Amino acid sequence: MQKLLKLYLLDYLKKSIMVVIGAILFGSIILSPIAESVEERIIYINWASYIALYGLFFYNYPLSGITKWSMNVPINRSELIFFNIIFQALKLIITSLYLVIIGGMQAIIYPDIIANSKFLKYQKAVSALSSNLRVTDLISWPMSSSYLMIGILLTIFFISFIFNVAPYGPFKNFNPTNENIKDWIKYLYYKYKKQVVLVILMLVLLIGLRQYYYSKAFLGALSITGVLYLVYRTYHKVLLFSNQTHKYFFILSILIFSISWVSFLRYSNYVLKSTTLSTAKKISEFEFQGKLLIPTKEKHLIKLLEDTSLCLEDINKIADLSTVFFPKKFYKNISNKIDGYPHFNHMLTNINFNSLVLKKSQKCGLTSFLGLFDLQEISFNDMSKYLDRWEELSVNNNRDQYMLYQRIKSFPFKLKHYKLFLSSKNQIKIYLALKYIENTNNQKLKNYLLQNITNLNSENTFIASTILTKQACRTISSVDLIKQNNIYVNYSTCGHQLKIENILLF
Amino acid sequence: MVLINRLENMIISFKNISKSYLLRTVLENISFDIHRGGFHVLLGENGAGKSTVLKIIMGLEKFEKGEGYLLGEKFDSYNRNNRHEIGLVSEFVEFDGPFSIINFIKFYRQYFPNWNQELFDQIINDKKMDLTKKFNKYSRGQKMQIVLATELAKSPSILLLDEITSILDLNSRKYFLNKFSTFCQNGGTIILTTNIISEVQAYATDLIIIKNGHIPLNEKIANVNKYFKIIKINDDHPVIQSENCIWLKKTDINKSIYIIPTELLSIYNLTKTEVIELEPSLPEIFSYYLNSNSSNNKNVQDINFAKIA
Repeated sequence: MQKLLKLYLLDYLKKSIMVVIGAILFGSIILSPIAESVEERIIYINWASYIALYGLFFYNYPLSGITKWSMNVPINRSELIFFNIIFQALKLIITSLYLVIIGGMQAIIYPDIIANSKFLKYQKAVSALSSNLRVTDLISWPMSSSYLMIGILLTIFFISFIFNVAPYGPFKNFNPTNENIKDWIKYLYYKYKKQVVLVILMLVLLIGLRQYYYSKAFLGALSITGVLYLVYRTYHKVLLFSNQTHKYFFILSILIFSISWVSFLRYSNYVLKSTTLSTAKKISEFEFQGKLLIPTKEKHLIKLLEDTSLCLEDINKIADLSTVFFPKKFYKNISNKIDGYPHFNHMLTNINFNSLVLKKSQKCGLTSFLGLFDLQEISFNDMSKYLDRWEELSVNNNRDQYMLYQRIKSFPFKLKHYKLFLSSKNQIKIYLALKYIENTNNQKLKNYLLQNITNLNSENTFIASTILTKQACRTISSVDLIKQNNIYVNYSTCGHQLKIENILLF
Repeated sequence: MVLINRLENMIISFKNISKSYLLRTVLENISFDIHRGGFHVLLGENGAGKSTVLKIIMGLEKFEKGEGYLLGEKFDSYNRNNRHEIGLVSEFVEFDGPFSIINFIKFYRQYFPNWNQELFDQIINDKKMDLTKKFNKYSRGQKMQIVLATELAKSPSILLLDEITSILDLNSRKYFLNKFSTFCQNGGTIILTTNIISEVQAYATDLIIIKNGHIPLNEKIANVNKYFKIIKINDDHPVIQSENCIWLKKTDINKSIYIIPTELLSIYNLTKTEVIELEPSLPEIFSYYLNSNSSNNKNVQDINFAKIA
């Protein structure tokens, strides 16, 4: 193996020196003249070097070449595999060293330019991005099981490509054409009828029982085993392992699969136990673990919904979860998506509104919770309590108000309810009433509005002004004007001047 | 004692080995032994499975059924550290790498304790080859000659040669056949696959014919001739109805020359006048196997030769 390593490493070193020098010369002589600044010139040289080294790295996978003559040489398969792994690792180190040397040289020659270069600016931008919530989520510990699994899978993919027989890695000779597939099916059918039938039966059984094991953790373990199988297959294509080795690998892959699966599940349990997670994250962990561990009974659903700190993300998760995992009796599908709640396509049934909704401690939770209910099943008293709770939780803003209005405009409010709203001090109730007046132009309610005009906050005043302006043919921009009750407006336009109170009589 | 000697001399053994590529069966329950020494020719049509046999011996191809032994070890578990004992020369053996051949040889020879540098230099000089180039810069024939020189120089016990005669030029063929002959005289064993027997018949000692996944013939070349006769008969003679009577060429208007297994002479009462005294040549025997249906049925070999033996 040492002889082989020496032979191929010396060649790689020789080539890499030539390639780096060539790239620097190409960058300096061919590309630099079109650069407008030294910084740009450095960037060109760097890119030329990166591309050259990248090409060199992926062009040098010697194992396939070696296997064209190694059958005549007393070298074991294991030696060849170790050689390949060590050679690839050394290649990585050598290539990285070149990059460090190039960067270091530039830092020595152009210290000021490098310190203020665009590259560093990009780096700063990336650092700034990393403070973004999602990135922080990704790197905070303990990491979400799904993120961890994706990280592990990407790492394994990377390793399997680097330490493989060829740069196209596990997919070398992977050519599933129709003809190949047909031949394989025929071959399996004629040669291994019994085994095929047995495998099909097992698959049917496994698919039938999938609810008990199917999860992201299972898929992750399967993917890891799959990638390792592809790597093994690629090595087998060139080294031709014995049947004994196949058996060992089969046992090893079962072990790897089991260990990965159990490890993912254990890690997910650790995440669940070790930190205070939001309901959404808890559900994500449950989903990650599989249906057996996901709460699927009514009491579980109620327990999830009882969490007072639920917010939009949690509600969305519960909404997703309910259709996938809960029995159908807990929800009914709706044909049209609710405005403002695009994720919801169903509603929960038989849920205690008072205990679940009105106890929410966050407005986001209270607002989004409404997406889970059929408004026709809620009484006016409950709705009124809901609006009071909504008012209690925080200061209203236009968007929130509008979203809520969109959601509950189909609620069967009556005129007396709007009157009650206008006489209350609850701004969301007044907002709903004003929107009703705006849409229906109800004169009685307008009068009622004038009588209770002192209750309006600034946003509702603006809506009231708009309503009244339409009728008064002049801008009534402030509540004080309305309150004066003696505004004369030109009705001529309107024709003649009218007192505001008279306007409202029309 | 004789049996022990025979077993010790048996360096390659195929026992009921079957090999197929998906649904295409290449070898079907083939069994044969190869003993130490001698120049064995594995003869068969294109796609008959000759290369597959060599690949199986080298552990480059797996088989579904049967058992095989190389130098006393199973093919599957053959210790690769003993690879100096065997050499394969084939078009798919390439010294593919980022080095000139001269540098590669310096590296390559370190693996072989019996490396014969003198022989290697002699071949290279005789063939006037420049080894300073990379392998892929040489022509197909030159590549083959380089591989042949290295495999001969490593002084193995067994040399497997896969279809080399179709790649080498006439002079090179003669040159290397002489080298192989010397190799065999020094105790080496050669298995050469080919579909052109005429050029190697002067050097070969054993003939193995492979057809449709079977081995209908595995005999010393010196014995093969005894099993066949050349006859010149009228085209309406009843013997030509036999599936084992194979037409070779037309001589007169009504007569043709045929090759038949010896036992057909008595079955059809063929007279001496109809039998040509010349012994059938190897190409004629190969032609017999190519054209007769007998080789499709492995029992035919038993009928033809077991009886005589």
